[in-house]
Amino acid sequence: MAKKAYEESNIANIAVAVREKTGSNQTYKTSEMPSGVNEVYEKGCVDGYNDGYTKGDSEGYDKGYDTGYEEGFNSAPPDYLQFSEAAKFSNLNLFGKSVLVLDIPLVSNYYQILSQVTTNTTVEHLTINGAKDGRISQLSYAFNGIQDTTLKRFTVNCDFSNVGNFDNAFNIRGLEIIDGIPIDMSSSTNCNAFAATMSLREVRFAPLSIKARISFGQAPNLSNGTIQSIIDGLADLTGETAQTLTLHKEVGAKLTDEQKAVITVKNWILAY
Amino acid sequence: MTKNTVTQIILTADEGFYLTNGETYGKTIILPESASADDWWEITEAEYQQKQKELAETYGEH
Repeated sequence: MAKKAYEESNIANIAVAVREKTGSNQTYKTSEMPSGVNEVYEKGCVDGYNDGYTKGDSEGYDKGYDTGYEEGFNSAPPDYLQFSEAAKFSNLNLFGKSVLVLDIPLVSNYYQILSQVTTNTTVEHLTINGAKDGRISQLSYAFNGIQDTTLKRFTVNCDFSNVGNFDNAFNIRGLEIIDGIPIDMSSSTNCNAFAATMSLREVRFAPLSIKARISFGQAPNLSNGTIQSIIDGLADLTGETAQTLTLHKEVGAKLTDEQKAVITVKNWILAY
Repeated sequence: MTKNTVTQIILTADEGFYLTNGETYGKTIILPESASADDWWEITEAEYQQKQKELAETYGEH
């Protein structure tokens, strides 16, 4: 290649520009200037990447998270509370939407699980998706004391066939409907779950599953379907100690002679 | 033809009274043959209302 003459200042300015971009104090011979230019490029790549990542992370991630969260929260139909295991939600404030779904497929002990839920809730329909493999063993006071609330309907998608104690389980004053899987009390020695459920209209039981004293004495509005389900739900206690079924006097007065006979034949005492 | 005989012992409280066995209360008690009427006694309506009030006060407690 031929040798040519250049102004020294022009060559020096190239070195100055390289030092400005790389931040180094290195001096360059003319032959070293190509590597200097490469250093400028590589530093630009690193600086550009770091700056871009930081800015994208803070602006993109944070903004995306906030926007996504807000849109997701506003568009979700019911409020979902999903827990792998949970012991108790006592004193929970059920604010917000009118429908609440509780997914608790691994919980086996429901003792006081939703007891003493505070007032001022707007929830009208509560669904519990619990275990269906028979692991639930305890239900006493589970939903006792959900009082002074808007709760009218309780969908129970749980297998209660191995529950040993239903004592005061569903004492919810304003509750009108319990639906979902028919309640199976066949393992329970205490079936007194509805003593104060005074607004109850609809509930269904697994046939022949009620084996211990049970009272609906505070519930005057039981539907005909519910009454029949209760009667069908009474276990046959022939040869065993008679247990008592208590109904509200208005419900008792609606029973047919045949219904009363079925209750008696199963060795149950009827009080109303 | 099927013939079923159902034996019931029907206790009815007098006016102004309720029947109880200490746990259960009612104006009318229908007993199967295996149960005893001796397990039931009458209380006044005022006693019954007082008992219901006491039970209501325990609502939500555990």
